[in-house]
Amino acid sequence: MRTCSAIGTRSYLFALCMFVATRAPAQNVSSFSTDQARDPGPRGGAAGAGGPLKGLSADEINFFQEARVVFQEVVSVSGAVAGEESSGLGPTFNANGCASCHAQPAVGGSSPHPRLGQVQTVNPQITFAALDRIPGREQVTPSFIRADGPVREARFIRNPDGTLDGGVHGLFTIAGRIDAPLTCNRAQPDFAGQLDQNNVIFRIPTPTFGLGLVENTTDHTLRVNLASTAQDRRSLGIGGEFNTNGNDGTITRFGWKAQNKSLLIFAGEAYNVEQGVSNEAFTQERSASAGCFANPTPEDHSHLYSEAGSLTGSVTEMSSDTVSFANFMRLLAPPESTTDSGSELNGKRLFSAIGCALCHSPTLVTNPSIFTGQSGVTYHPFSDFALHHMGRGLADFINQGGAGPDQFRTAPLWGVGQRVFFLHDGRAGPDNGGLLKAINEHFSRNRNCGWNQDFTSDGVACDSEANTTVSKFNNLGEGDQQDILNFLRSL
Amino acid sequence: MSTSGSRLACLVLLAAGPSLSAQDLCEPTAEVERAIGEALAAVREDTPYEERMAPLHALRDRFERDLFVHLRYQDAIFDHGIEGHLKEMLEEYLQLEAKHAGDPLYLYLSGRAFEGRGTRRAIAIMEQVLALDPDFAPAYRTLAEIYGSNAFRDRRKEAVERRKFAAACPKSAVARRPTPLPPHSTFFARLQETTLSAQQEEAIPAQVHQALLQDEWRALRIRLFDWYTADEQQRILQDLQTEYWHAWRVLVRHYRRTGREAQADELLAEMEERLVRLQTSRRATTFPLAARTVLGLRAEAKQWQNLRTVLARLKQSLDGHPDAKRAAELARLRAAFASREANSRR
Repeated sequence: MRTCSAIGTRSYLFALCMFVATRAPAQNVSSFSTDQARDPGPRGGAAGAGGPLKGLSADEINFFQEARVVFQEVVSVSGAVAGEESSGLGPTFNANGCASCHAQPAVGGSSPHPRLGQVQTVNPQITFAALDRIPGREQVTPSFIRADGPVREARFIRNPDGTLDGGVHGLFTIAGRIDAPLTCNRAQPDFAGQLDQNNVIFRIPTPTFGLGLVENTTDHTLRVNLASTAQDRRSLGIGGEFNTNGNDGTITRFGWKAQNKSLLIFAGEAYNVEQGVSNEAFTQERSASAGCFANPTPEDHSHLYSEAGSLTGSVTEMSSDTVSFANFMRLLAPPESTTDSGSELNGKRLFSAIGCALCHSPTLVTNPSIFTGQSGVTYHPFSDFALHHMGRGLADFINQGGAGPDQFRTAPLWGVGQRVFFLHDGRAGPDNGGLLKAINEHFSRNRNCGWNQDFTSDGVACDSEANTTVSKFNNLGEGDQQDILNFLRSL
Repeated sequence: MSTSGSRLACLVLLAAGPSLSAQDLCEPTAEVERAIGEALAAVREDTPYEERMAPLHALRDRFERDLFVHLRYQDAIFDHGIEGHLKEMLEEYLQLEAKHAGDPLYLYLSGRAFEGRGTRRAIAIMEQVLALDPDFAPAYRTLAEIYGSNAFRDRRKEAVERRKFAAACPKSAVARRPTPLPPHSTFFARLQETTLSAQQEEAIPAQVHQALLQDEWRALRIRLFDWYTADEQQRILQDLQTEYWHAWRVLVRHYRRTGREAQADELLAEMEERLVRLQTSRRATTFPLAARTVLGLRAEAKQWQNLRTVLARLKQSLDGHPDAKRAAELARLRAAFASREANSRR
């Protein structure tokens, strides 16, 4: 166990604490609280999310509901397997449907858990090694996928030749599935070997609630919001910059590193990367192996004819799945908070007082919208959608757009009250302290850095931008810490 | 012809390499015919793709400019390859065409690589070939094949192209395209579950998987080609979806007959999940069959409580995703199984 009395950012304060590291990497020093505050766990009761945005017209709600059905469809290779009527799965994949992973606390959310939360189901990835397989051709479930663990994708940091990789490597392949071509013999990646070489990082699904509001927020609003906290952030050693699109220079805002520009791109990328379905946004199959490409591409596309053979139909009938996924997310309401108790309200106050809200910005406002009642909506994402250096403790060494190896978008905290797993790789969960662990993982100090050294040669910050704030959290009394945790669980 | 025109023609001829005689373009020579026969004789029906293609690769190396060797090679990929192999072939022939620019043989072969899957492009390239060499008979044959197919049917054009081909190659035939699909499995139609020997019973799971693989292959074949109509593609996919429900029913009954109740229950539970999911799917056409199958299997085992649970789940799902047709079907099934339950209790 490690104890700490006070911690400041490297540039401004000297570390005053004594660390007795147990499991932290040698170069990484993390803050740790000895207090007794505990994450109360996912909030019970009804799911505070999953429905359409408030104020939509009846037609728009119907549009949302049709798109939600598509979001819940299950994909097989050929589209013939009963209950798996979408086609295009593989050659490699992490999941066979959006809603199986974006599940908790409702369709559109994040990883489910078998005993916690509203959904209570095992990690769906545990089933894919055997699902629809020819007997004897089952695959292996990688060691980092557990029935009660988070849904994960795996990325390799480097290629065998030492160059940067960073791409997603599908956990499973279609080889041996009953509906796959017999010519497909593509093996699963050697995850055990890559893990041995510390070459694997993970990402868990981000919840998609309220993202239509985020999409409809102007760059100007985001920049003004970030600028409004500049002085306070500077005083706590917090930076912040936006990831931007290389073509038009506008702010990208979706994904763990804010690497995706729009919900359509986000949906298209996920459909291709997670399920192996090529689509109109990401047109090529990912894993080159001629004997495994079974379908003409793009596998998901706009429909010239409706299922009834007509040249006309509803938007959802005629659109590609990818467009429907984006529409579903676009109209999906943000999670509803339940902050009302004295403890939660005090937690809310402290959340701002110690500096959490400098990045986890409570309030933003949307631009005029094409959808009924969605113009000028004030919403509470608890994110500035900017990138921050989190240091070596959270660094995943993956570059995406302008985001470097240790930079992450401030994770929106709306809905965190009913989430089970936290941080980009799901390392914080019910087995190790949940939110408390997540907060402390924000702290990182590289003691090998020299005086006045800000970054190591691999582009990772010597200190996490969150260090001072985490220290402030750890210097709070048990009751105040508990109030912050209670507040977070009310979101 | 102008000087520059003659120079261009000379360049084209030089680039084209040795020209093919009219006869070479109609039928293979005896030597090529024999070589192709030998190469194909070595291949059994169940030979894996890579092994199947190996003798044809060798043949192509040996007869680099022989039209019929290329055609057999392409046909083998059309018949046995999947989308990735077809794409590889296309890229290969586009490269060859670029390398032999101006040679009608390679232009034709690149166009033929599009036949059946990028058919409009194939037609355009055939017309380019004929503009380059109006005596290039195989292009007339390919156009006749295309205009004779269901999806691109044009009887007048087909007759014109056939006539031109017959004039150039009077002894040669135009093939019927597309070639027939691989056969449909007859296993489920033939299966007599009441009169199985112990040996036949034991073989059931393997035969079920074999039958499904066979029909999956049919579905994979048809979806790659645009000269199957959308209706044909939809019909074959629906046939296969139906086949899956038959397969699972056969397996559940098999497990029950062989005393493997736990396996039967596990599979039936999975079928139930799929059925409930089907209810939310806009594409599912097999819902009535699936509902009959699942409820029927519960009824066969007199699992009335489970049956009622399934009905309740389906009703709940229908409430969330209203569908009048499915609701009516479900009401009919509910009545039929209630009556069956009542009869079984008498």
